[in-house]
Amino acid sequence: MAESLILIEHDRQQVKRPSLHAIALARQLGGEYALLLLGHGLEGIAASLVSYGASAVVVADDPALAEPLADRYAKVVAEAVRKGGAKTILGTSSTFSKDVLPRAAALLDAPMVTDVVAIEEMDGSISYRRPINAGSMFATVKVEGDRRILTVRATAFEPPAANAVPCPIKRFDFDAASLPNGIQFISREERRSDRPDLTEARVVVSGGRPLKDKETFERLVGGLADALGGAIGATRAAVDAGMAPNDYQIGQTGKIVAPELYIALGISGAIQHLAGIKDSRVIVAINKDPDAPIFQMATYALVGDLYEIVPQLIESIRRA
Amino acid sequence: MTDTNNATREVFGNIAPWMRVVFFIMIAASIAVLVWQVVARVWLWRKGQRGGFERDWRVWGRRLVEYALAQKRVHRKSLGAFLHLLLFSGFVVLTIGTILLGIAYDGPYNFHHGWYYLFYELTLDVFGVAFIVGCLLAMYRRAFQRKPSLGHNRSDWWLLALLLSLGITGFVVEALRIHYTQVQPDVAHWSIVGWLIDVALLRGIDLGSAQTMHLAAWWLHAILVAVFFATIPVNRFLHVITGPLNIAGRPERPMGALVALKMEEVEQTGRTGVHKVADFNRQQLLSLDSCMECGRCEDACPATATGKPLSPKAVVIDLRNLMSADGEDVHRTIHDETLWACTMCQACVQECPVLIGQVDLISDMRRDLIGEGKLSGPPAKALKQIGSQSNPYGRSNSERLAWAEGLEVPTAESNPSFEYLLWVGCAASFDPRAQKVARATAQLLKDAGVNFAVLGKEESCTGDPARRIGDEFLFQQRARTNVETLTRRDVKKIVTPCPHCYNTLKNEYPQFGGQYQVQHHSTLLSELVGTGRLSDGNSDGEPITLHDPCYLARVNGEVDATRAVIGAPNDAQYREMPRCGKKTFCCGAGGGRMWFEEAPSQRVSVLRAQEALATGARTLATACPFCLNMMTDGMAGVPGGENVKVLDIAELLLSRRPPSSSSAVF
Repeated sequence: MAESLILIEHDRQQVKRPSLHAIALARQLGGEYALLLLGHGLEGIAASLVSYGASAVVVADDPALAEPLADRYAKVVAEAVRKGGAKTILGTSSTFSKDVLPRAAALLDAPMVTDVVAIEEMDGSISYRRPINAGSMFATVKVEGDRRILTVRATAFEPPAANAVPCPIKRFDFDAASLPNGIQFISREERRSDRPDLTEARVVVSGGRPLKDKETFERLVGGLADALGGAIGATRAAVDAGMAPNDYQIGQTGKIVAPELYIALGISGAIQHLAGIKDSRVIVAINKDPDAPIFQMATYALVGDLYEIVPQLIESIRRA
Repeated sequence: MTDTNNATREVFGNIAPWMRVVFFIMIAASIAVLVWQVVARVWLWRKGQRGGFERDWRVWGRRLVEYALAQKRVHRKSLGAFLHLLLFSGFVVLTIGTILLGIAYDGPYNFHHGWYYLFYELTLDVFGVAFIVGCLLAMYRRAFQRKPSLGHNRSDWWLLALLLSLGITGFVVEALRIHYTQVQPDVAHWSIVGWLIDVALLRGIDLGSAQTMHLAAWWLHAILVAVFFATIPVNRFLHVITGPLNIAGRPERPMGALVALKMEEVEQTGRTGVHKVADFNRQQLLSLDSCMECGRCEDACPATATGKPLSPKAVVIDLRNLMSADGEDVHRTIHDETLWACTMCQACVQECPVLIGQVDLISDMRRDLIGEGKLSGPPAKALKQIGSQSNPYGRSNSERLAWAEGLEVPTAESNPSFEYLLWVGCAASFDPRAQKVARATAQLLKDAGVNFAVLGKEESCTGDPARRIGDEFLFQQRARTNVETLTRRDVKKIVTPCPHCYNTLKNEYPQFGGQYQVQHHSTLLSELVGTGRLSDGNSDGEPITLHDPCYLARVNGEVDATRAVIGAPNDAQYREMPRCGKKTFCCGAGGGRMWFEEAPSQRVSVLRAQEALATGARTLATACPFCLNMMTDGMAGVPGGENVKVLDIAELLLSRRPPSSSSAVF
C-alpha cells in the first residue's frame, strides 16, 4: 500500500514536467508512493512514468475524464485515496491543482497545505514550510488528522531521475456514471503560434496604443517580429483596446521579459510597462514624441512615425 | 383682556392622578427598555480591545460643538441635509422644551408663566412645525428620490410614521387643550399651530367632548412617546445616542496617519491586524453602532463609483452585524477583493458626519490579510522589492540619481550644510516620466538659489505603499532606517514632490521619533514665486485645470499653493473640476492600488480623466507622480484625451519661464 499518492498533470499526451517535482517531496517523506493519472487515452503517458521509483502508476482512464473538469477529477482522486489508503496526496502548485485538490480535500475532509517548499521534523511530527507575506517570510505549519493534501512549489524541489526498475501500471476502476455533472466542458481555446514563446524569445517586438487595431498591429508588430524571428508583446493599453490578446501583455501586470533585443513600437514608457522590460539587453524605441519617457530607458531611440519606419525596417531586414 | 404676565397653562390638567402614575410607569418602562438595549450594545463594544478612545476632554467638547451641535459634516446643498436640519433642530428644541417643563413643575420654582411662557409656546410650535416638515420631506425623499446609497428598509418608514404621528398628535393635544380650557385668544395665538387648528377645525365641538377627545389624544401621544423610546436602539435613530459618543471618543490623529502597530503587542497576541470583530478596539466597535446608514461615504467612494466590490458603508454595516456573531472571521463576510479595492483616499472618512474611521477599519483588516499571506501578484512583488531594493519598482538603489544626470544636483555628501533636503521619492527617482518632475523641481530650486541637497542612494522608500497595503512590519523597517539616515544627515527641513512621501514624513514618522519641517514642493515653489525668487511666467492661454492629489488636498489641507504655482488665481482660462480642493476625487493609485491589476471598466483614472476633459481644459496639472502616471493613463483611455497635456505643477512653472534659463534642463 502506497503511503503517498502523487497527482501527475499532462497535456496533449505529454507529462507536465513540473508536476514530477512533487516526487522529490514524497521521497523525503518516506514510504512507498504511487503516481495517479487521470484522463482518457493514457497508455502512452502511463508508460513514460514507470521509471520514477513509484510502487505503481495508477491510471483512471475513462471518456468521462477526457477534459479536466474539477468536480469529476476531485471525486475520482478522493475515491482513489479511499481505496488505496494513501495518507499523503501530493500535487504541484498550478492552476490545475488549485482547481482540483481543494475539492478533493473537502470530499476527504482532510487538511490542505499549499505551496510547500520544505519539510521539517518538529516534536516527532512533520511540519511544512510555506511562504507567507508575499514571500517575504516563511510559516512552518503542522496539520492534524491522519490524511493530508499538499501542493509543492516546483522550483523548491529537484526533478526526479527516471532510472528505477519499471513499476506496474494499474487500472483504477470507478463508476463513471456516478460522477458529478456540475461543470460542463464547452470548448478549449489555445493560441498556437509559430513564433517563439514571449518569455523565452531572444527578440521581442511589442506595440502600444498607436497601432490602432488588430490588423495594423499584426501587420507592423507581427511583421517585424517575423522578420527578426522574434516574439510579439503588447502594452496594457494595446491589450485593452483589443489589438492583442491578453497573454501578450508585458509589464507590471503582465509578463516579464528579458530578451537580447526589445523593440518598442509606439510605446510611451509608463513605469508599469517598463517593469516588464527593464532587464532587456538592448532596447530600441520608435516613437514620434521626442519627450516619450521610454527614450530614457532605450539604448537606441528613433524619433519618427512608426507607420513609415516599420515597413521600411521590415523591408530592409528581409532584403538583407 | 388677559394679563399676559399671568399667562400660563395647566400641566396634567386633564389627567387624573392614577393616570399620571400609569403614565410615569409606562415612560419609565420604555426608558428602561432603551437603556437595557443600549447597555447590551455597550457590552458588545466591550468585547473589543481596550482603549482606542480620545482622552482629552477639551477635544470632546470642541468636537461635540462642531460636529454634534453645529453638525459641520451634515451641512451641504441637498434635500437630505436640509430635512436633517429641520428634524434635528425640531427634536432638540422639543426635547429641551419638555425637560424645561419638567424642571418648572417639579423644581423649587415654577417659572412657566408670563412672557417666558408665551415665548416658550411660540418656540415649541415653530420647531414642532419644522419637525413635521422634516418628516414629510424625509418621506418624500424616500418615496420619490430613492437614493440607492441611503438604503431603504421597512423600518425606516415605521420610524418616519412614528415621528410624524408624534408631531401631529402633539399639536392636536395642544388644540384640544386650548379649546376645552377656553384659553383667551391673546394668549392662545402664541401657541400658533394649536390655535389655528382650534379656530379652523374645532369650533363646533362642545367643551365636554373636547375634554374627552383631549384625554384620548393625550394618551395616544404618550403611548407613541413610549414606543419611540423603546425602539430607538433598533432603528436609525440610535445615532442620536451613539453619534455624539463616537464624535467625542474618536482618537485625535492626523487624517494621514495610520496607527502604529506595537511590536511588543504583536509578540504577545500573535496578531498583526483584525481577524475577528473583537480584534478591533472598543472605540472602533462603538463607531460601527454610530452609523445611521446615510450613504455619504458610499457616494464619495471611488471604488464604489467604478463598480468594485467595496462600499465603505457596507463594510461598516457588515462589521456591525458581525459584532453579535461571536468570534466570526471577518474575512468570511468581507472578502479580500473588497478590502484590496480601497484606494485609501479618505473621501469616506472626510464625509462621515459621525467621524467613523472607515480607512482604519479597512487598514486593520488588510494587515491581517498580509499576515495570512493573502496578497499575491504585482502588489506583493512591489512589497518584496521595497524590502529588497528599497523601492517598489525593483530597480537598483544605486540608480537613484539617474534622474539628475547632467543637472549637478548637490547631495548631502557634497553639500552638508544644506537648508532643505529634497526628498525625491521612488516614483520621481525611477519612473522616467516622473523623473522629469524631479528634474524640474531641482532646476527651479537651483534657479531660486535655494540651498538644498538630495540623499541619493541613501534615500529609500518611505514605506507608504507598504503601510497602506497592510505590511506594517515592512513599513516600520523602512521608517526606522529612514529616520536613522535623516538624523545622521541632521535634516531639519524636507521638501518633496510626492504627496505620499510628504504625508508619511510629516504625519507618520513622528511615531518613530522623526520630527521634521516637511513641505510639499507646491508650498515651497509658491513661496519662491510669492517672494519673487522665481518668476511665474505666462500661461500659454489655453484652458487649464488642476487635479488635487488626495494626500495633499484632502488629507493635508493644502489647496492654495498648487493653484498659486500655476497662476490659477489670475488665469481667466483656469477651470475648476466639480470635485476639487479638499473634496477632490482619487486618481486610483492610492492605498497600493498603483500595483493592482484593474479591468478597463473599473479604472478610477478614466472617470477622473472624463471629469477633467469635461472642463474643456487642454492642460491637466497635478502635483503627485502617481496622479501624473494615472491621469496620463486615464487621458489616453478616453476619446479626446490625447489632446490634453498632463503635467506636474513644477514642470508647468518651469516651462512658462523665459527660455534662456530653462533651455538647459531637458
